[in-house]
Amino acid sequence: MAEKILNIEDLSIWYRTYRGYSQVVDHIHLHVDKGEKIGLVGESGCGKTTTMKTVMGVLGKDLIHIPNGTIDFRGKNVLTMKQSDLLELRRSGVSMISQSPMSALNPVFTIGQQLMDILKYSGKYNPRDKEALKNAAHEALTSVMLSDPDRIMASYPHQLSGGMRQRVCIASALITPKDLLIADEPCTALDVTIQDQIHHLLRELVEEKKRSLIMITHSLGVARELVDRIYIMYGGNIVESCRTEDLFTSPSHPYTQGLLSCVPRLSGGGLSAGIYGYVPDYVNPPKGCRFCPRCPYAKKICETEKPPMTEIAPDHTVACFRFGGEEQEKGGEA
Amino acid sequence: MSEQKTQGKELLIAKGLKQYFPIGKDRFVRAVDGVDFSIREGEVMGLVGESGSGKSTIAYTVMGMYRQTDGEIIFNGTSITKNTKGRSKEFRRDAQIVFQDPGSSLNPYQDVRQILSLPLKVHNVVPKSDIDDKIREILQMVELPPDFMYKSPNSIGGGERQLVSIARALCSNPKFIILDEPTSSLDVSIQAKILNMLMKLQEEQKLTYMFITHDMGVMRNVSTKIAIMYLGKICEIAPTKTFYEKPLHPYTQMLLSAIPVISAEEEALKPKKIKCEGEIPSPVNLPSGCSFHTRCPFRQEICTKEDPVMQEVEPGHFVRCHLCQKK
Repeated sequence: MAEKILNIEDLSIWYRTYRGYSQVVDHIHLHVDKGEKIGLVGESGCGKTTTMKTVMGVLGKDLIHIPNGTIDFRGKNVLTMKQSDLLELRRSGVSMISQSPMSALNPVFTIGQQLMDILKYSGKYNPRDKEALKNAAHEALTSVMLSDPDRIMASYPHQLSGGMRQRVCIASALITPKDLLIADEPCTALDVTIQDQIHHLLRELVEEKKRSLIMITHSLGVARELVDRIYIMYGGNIVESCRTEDLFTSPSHPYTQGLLSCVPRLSGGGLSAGIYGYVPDYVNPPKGCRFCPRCPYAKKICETEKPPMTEIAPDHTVACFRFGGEEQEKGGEA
Repeated sequence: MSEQKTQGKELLIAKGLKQYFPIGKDRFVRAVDGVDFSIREGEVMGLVGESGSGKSTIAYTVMGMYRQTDGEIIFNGTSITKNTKGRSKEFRRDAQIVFQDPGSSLNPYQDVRQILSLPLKVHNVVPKSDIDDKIREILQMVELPPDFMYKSPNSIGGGERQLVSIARALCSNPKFIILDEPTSSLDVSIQAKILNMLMKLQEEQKLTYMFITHDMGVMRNVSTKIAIMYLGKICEIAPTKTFYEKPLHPYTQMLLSAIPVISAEEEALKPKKIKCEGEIPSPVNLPSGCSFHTRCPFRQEICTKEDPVMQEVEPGHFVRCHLCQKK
């Protein structure tokens, strides 16, 4: 099928802490095709951002330890890249929109300066040609629906509102052609109406320029609106991956089902009980399935062994013993 | 949830409430600009709006953290805004508030026992010797184990921290609790648990809530009536069911149509897609006429000139819009 632009195989990421290794990401597989929009959904602290930061190569070797796995970006392993290759990767391969537009921009430079810096070091423009840089920055700001780009170029981040700042971040992520855009909860700090605008913008820009997008989010609703394929992450594992429509029609992993039932519905119908318990401790994670202590269907085997990713339908894989090996589904109210 | 529970007497009434903050000479941030609402006993009033629309300011003004610029607040039949020395002790006992971020509203140097014993001492809820028993009872009410007493807020998770601040609000046996985005910093699985807890407590203790949130899905499931705010003014108040089925104000429609939902059933409930334009204007230089006209897709000549007044279009359903008044 389509060419894989990013392919993560069997990746584990451990943070070094005083209590020992914190096993934040545990044997995950993930791939992104060219022009595809995928969503990485999970609650806070499940390892979404850590994975993506590792893809960018921004977590230092003193912070993390990677016991196994590879991250192939356009056929090259990011984990074994030289510093100069990493710089090239960030210059022309991947860009990331961070969670808080407040802290992603440098407060002591104007927006114009920051955008022009990106262009200057992208290697695509002549750094001396101020006029061309300015025009390109101007164009980037116009493309994210910011009216009055001249004023914005001259202003400092604190003079802009949250929505405008996030647009500037998107503009700076898309200003040079990149293959993969990682959006790390770009709208959590913003209001729904602004969120709606930003999502429209992201979708349009990504589709128009045939980029790939990884959307990190904790909101299933956002993922449903925006992406083609969803990975559900829990406690450092990817527990379910499937096409967006399948996830909402036939959620299979108990965690996915729990997560879906937790979302308060616009149509009313009361509240669900939530998922019992808390996320696991990463220094001493449960030996078997990491969701086992909270799982309503937990069996003996779940405590001791890790469930393999099993394909239950085309493009739909689940890591749960309810679907692996012998079929012994116990009836539940889904 | 409880659609028909609006029979009680009015517990809290705000009339023409205004809260301006001065910035320099003759310039004000008009955080709350003439707001009228009333909450009956046993009701859960939802207050929704974007950030900067003045939701929290209303909460703080009611609690007496700010001295209101104008207007009157009546609580339980008596005006509480006449007293220039702040709120009376009775009011402070009967009305409590739970803040958005439990991390910064609980003192990290105190343990849970100290945090909970202060309101018990101040309001003389129980004799000194029984304080520990009372704390255990309150912790049980929010389904926390009794040994939580000796933990510090730093050593517990975000959801549990929020439970502790709910417990603190319950200490003085209040009638009325303001919940200022109690779950917006939490994950959905924990959010569901806390919301359930809050609704259970409301039923058991016969509490009245003012529930501030920006999550319309949460609002649908907890409130009996909803007020929607924009730029310091309430633009629509309606019982929850009407609010979601027949939203009238263009801003309400815009907000509802922008929510990402997770099922086709909900998709059908959303009003026709209204393209969101622009951002909330600055509350320092308010637009002329209707404050929403800068973003309104249906704006007309009159909207830029005259500020619409609140009008009751059907029992309990108030709208502040020129377009809805013609009917």
